[in-house]
Amino acid sequence: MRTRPLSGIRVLDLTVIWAGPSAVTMLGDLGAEIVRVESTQHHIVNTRGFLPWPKLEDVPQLGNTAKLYVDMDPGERPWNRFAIFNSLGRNKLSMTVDMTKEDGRAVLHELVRVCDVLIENNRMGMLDSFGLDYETVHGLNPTLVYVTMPLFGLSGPYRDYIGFGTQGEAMAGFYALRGYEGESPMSAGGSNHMDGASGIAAALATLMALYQRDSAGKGQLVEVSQVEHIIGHLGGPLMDALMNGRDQAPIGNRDAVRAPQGIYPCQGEDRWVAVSVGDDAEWAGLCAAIGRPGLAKDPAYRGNAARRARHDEIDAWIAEWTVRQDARRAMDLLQDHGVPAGLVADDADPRDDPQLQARGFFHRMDHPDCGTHSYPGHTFHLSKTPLRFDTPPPTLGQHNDYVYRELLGKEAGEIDRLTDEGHIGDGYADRLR
Amino acid sequence: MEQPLAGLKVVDLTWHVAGPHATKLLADYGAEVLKVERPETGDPARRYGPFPGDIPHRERSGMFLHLNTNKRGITLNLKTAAGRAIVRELAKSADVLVESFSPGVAARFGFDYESLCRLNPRLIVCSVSNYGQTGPYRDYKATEMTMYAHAGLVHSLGVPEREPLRSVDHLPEYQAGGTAAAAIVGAAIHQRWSGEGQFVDVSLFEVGSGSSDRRITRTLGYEYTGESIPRSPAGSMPGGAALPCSDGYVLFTVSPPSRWIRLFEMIGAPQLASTGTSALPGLATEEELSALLYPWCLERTKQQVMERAQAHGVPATAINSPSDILRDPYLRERGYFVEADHAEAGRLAYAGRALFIDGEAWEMRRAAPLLGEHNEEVLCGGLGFSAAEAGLLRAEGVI
Repeated sequence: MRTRPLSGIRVLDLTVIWAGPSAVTMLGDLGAEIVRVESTQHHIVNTRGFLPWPKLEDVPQLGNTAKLYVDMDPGERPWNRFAIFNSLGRNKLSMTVDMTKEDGRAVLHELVRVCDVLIENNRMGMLDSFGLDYETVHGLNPTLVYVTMPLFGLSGPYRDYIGFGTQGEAMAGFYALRGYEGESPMSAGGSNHMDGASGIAAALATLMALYQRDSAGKGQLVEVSQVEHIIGHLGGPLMDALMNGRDQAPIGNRDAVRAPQGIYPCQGEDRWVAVSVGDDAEWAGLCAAIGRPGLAKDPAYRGNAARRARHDEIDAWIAEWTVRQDARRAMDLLQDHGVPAGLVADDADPRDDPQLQARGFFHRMDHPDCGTHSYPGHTFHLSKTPLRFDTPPPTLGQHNDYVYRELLGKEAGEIDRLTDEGHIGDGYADRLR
Repeated sequence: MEQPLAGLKVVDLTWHVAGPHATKLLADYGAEVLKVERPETGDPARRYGPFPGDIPHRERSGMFLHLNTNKRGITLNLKTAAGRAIVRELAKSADVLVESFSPGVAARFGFDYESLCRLNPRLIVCSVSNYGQTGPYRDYKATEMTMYAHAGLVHSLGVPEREPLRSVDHLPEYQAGGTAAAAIVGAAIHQRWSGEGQFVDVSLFEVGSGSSDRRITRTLGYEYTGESIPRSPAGSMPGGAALPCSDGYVLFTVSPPSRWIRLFEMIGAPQLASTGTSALPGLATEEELSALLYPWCLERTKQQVMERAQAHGVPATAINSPSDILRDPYLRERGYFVEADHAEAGRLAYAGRALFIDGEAWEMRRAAPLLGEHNEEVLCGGLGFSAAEAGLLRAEGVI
């Protein structure tokens, strides 16, 4: 029986790093069976590790990447202990095959016939070179939905341009629009909105194509242009350029209208709270919360414009109070006074967040190479077809037996041969050490 | 070919950014979205601007126009029983109802899932809110800035010596809007084969906390190690940095240093790659590279630098301003901007064609609705009110 929207849908997952895998994660949450295609012969930087075989001795050189390995120890099978892959690994199955070889392509062609969706976000043209271009795949399975996530698009002069999320955000205007007031575009550091947004967009596009397939009965080519998609998230600044020929400049943490707005220091190292006041009632709440109720009555601070003109002065008062507060307590106190305020969450905060805990965001899972941990989970809730979190991230090749034997019906002899030839395995090849 | 969501009927009670973005996505891909606004003032996004010539006008707000393409619009005063009755009437024949009131308000109006489900068991009801419909922070207030701080990446943006930095406006709302649209289409797939609706609870806070914009990975990284990743210093040359050009900047990411060879080739000095004076065998030092790369970039426009870099396999792109984006030759060739006429705002280009299904992106069937533009059409057409009854509703301030 179909218990979830995508029950009975099988996804062939050829995605890498963040954007693609996060789209697939949403499809898995909705009940699709996810067959991740990986290779023991090729290491994709950042998907299952920055290096294929890092050792404990390498940890000092890995810098912040080391903080993504369980206990900061890559262990015997580092590829199974890495937080980029594992943070998006719920509900996925992992199989291995070397698609650079003829036999590997044949396996993939067999898989294409038994899947409903193929999704990928590799370098432009990579799948084409392995015989997995849309025409070939469509010929093998005319009802398959083929989803590709190019940086720019399948056509046009930038078709073959390469880049990371940061390059995409630069093209899409994000670097020009954020930063400390009056500083260079690099002062903002690297943001990764595109990786988050692209996954959501690709999941949406895939779902729309599946919805349409139910009535049209045929597969489609789905193209998710990552840069074009996030340009659509500019809204106001883009319309300003269009209507008024004006390019907005970064204004730090302030707002063009609301005042005061800022990020203020709290007790402890690198602890902060974000505060945004947009009307006189919120202003009165802020004044009361920071122990200066008299200010609320002072006409010199009435209205956003008046407060914006004296923003530096107001910032100093707020900071004088916040610096003596615990960040979460500051948020709670300000909220109690009706002031929009948010703890500036560091990496540790979500884990202890009462809202996330109350909403069942974390799922405790055992993992053979990682031990027991709480895994962050779903981004929405469905009442009658609850999202799934059935299995922890798969180890590399964990489901080879299921895929080769059950799904593809291969005999033991052929499985042995494919194992000997390096297709089937559960760890990176020795030559990648 | 028909649009993918053609025939899906959506009643849209959302305002601001996140909810309207969700219903815009549905509308852009074919759903029949009917936006319900308050009489007189309408969606607050009508006041956000930007406005042509900076003159506020409720029909000319750039944000509103951007977020409400392809929708029809009516006005209803939901504080009146007649207004609420019309929403219930619309819900009876709809597939989806989306709302973004503060938690609890929809229930007071009788628009909670349990009530609406009795009227129409196949209805999908989606709530889009800041913190969700349950939990201790349910009633917390948020703006896009405080939300991005609590749920997003603010702590990791900016430089270590200063306060963390917010990003471009409204990113949490756009991620939540996209998520809500995906959740609704998922629920619609279930609805199609089961005939059953359900309640969809989307919060900006969970969308941000579970986002692959790094947040979810950093959260698991901390769970794995007890270690936080600090704000990183601004990009250091020449691996990953914004290099100044004659008219702006180009953003490079060239790491590891073993790939610098491509930079030497780009600037026409491949011989430097083998001077071997740096710590890395066969490479020039960072200083030597910088000394050549900076002037090379300064002599060229950012578009020229980007094109040369890409021709040499160097990941580098121009740091575009919004007006650069409007002029960009690639986007023009792709037909990225779609022009549409609007009775009050005139002819404008709209962004957002990014998802293509069999080569077809969204179509502009209509620009954003005027406030109450489709009152008569909806009341007298679909709901069967007479012109006199509609007039009475208007006189009573219901529409």
